[in-house]
Amino acid sequence: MADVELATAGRAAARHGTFTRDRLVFGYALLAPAVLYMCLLVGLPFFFSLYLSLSDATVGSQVARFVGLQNFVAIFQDSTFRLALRNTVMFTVVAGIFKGLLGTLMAFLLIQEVAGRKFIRSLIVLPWTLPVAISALAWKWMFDPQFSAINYVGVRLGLIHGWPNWIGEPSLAMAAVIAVNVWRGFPFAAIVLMAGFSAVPLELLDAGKVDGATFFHRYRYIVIPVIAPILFVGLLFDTVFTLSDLSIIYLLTFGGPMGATEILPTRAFEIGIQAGALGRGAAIALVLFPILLPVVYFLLRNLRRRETL
Amino acid sequence: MDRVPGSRCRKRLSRRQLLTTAGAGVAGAALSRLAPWETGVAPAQIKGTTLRILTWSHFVPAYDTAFDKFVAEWGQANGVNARVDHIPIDQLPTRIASELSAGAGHDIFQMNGQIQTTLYYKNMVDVSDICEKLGKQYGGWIPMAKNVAVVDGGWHGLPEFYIAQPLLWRTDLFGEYGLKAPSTWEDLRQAAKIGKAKGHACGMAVSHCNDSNHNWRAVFYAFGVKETDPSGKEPTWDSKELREAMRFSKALYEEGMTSEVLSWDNVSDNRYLASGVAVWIHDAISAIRSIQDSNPKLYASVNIGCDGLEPRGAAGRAAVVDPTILAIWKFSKNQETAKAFLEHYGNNVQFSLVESKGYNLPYLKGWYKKPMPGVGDDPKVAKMQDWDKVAYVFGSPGPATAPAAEVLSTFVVPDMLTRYVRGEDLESAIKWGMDQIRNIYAKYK
Repeated sequence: MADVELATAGRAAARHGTFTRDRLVFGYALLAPAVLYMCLLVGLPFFFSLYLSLSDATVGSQVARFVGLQNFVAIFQDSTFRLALRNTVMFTVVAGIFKGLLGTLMAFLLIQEVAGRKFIRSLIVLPWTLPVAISALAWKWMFDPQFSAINYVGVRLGLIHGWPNWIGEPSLAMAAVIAVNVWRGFPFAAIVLMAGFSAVPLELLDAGKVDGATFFHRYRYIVIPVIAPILFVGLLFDTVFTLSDLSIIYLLTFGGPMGATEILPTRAFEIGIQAGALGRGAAIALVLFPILLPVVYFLLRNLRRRETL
Repeated sequence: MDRVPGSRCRKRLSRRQLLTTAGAGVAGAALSRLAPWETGVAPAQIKGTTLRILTWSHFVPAYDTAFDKFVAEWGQANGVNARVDHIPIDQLPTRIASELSAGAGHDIFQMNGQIQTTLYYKNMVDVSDICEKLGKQYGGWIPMAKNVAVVDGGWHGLPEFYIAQPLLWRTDLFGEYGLKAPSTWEDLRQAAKIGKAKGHACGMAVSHCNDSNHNWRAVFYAFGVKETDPSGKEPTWDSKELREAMRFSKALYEEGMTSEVLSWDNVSDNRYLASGVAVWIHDAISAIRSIQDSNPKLYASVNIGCDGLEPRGAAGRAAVVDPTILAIWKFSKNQETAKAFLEHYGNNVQFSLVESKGYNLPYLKGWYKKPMPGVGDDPKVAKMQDWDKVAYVFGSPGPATAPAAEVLSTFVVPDMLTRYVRGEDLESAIKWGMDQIRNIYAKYK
């Protein structure tokens, strides 16, 4: 009897093993196209960039020699690069904070039950969906040193004194490009957070209210832990998008005045493409990678921990 | 034909036959010296081919229409499927880099403003035969032509045209202020000082734009600044002439301009002139072409250039121009067709002058005979007929090399000046600029 049971158990285990193996193969087969896509369109360019950054490649030369870390040493000796690195961090952090705050505020407003909610939501999303060239050109007119609509209205309402040169003064220029980035990006944050807020169980919020928790207590101790995975993913996407946002600065200030709005993507473009020094340009672009990699790692690790709890 | 008695084979030619035969012989001899495309007969090797040309979106839009028609007509006449693609000038370096990386794209491409012949010449077809022929035919090339197209003794592109950026000044305002016509940069500084006090400041961009690069180089060159030694290998910016030029430039900015020039792009000065505010700007003549119809009164009050063409500085007069060249990729499968077109286009400078209304200026000396087509018959732009006498290209007195182009594309000169006009110490601003320039040149050694 025991032998029969053993044999039966063994056959069942074998069938289970085959079934599991088949499911695994099937699963990986379904994942394969996505992995292939990532390897071809992300992996290959990344490793090619890595190769370029370690070589003296230029646009005009078919042959590139290995130069080790020479490009990285050279770029760190460039004061404009160091300025671009500082600007990049400041641009990303400040814009991220504002997008988070405005996105949260907007998300709370958007989940309210009001008439025309769908229409309002579609209007809010417009800045994010408009092509960046159109947005940037519209803002360029609004910041124009001679015909600025912001200055015109601000001066007449008494909110602005003088005639600020929004993209001509270094400090104002950085504020201006951050403002445009925030204007474009906060709808994305609002939509992501709105989805997250909708997923918070109402019972938890009600229980919090019953226990006397204020709005901020409920937000901090109930809402944020529940939506943390969505928050981290949104933060990750936003950080990556902002760090690589070449378009706004290219169209508004081209890195000026005096490099005040120069960021790593624009510097990489100037050196790598316009000046033709592919090796140095790739090195500038890849400087972001060791900054981003640990950030992404810790975010995803934190996310995973929360999912397992 | 008369038969000669006693001979069955020999026939005497009539005079008509003799003349016909001789004429055919002369014609044949002449035709055989011309390239096939010059005879209007498509050579077998280019008939049925295609030709794709990449060029910029001209600031005189009518020129693009005329150029496209010119290319199409040549294509039709030669059995070539020819097409032109226009893109904004700022996108040309990117497109050129990507076409070379891909090894595919257009057959002929234009470099405009930012000339990178020394960077790409190994991938550009040698067109010395065309350029030397055109040079012999039209009285030679102005010196600047070789600076932009010749590398290692070979012509790697056809110098197409250059764009002058002259002084554009308001005669009515100068008259109102009791000022004589300007002749020197000092005259302009005085006019700007008076004009600014009366709400009519002058304007030259001090920012990350092409105009800023060229306009301030014009000032610096007029004060004797030299970018490099004649070989183009050693930067020679750091000089007392540079300091003098920087001091003048700061005074001009403070006394005659508003801070808005710190955020200008390439069209801001056009708008500034068109708004009626500017007492003078320093820009291509597209700035006045755009007001010719929309504001005839303003157009009539704007003069181009001064008596010596460009304002005089401490060392002389200098106009830093935007050069353009057309080149053929070595990866092109239609090189013969492309060469045929370049030679045809190079022979048709008149078309370029007339259709651009004086915006495109030639590199071939023979076209400077007065009256120059498209320029000589318009008193407004007649001064452009002598522009070759004051024209320089960036990198002067050396050629337009890759490091000189990188100094241009990274806006080192505008940034150096911006630092100084915004309050940084002169020596500190110059040190910053020289460090940038030396680092750039060091990377190309």
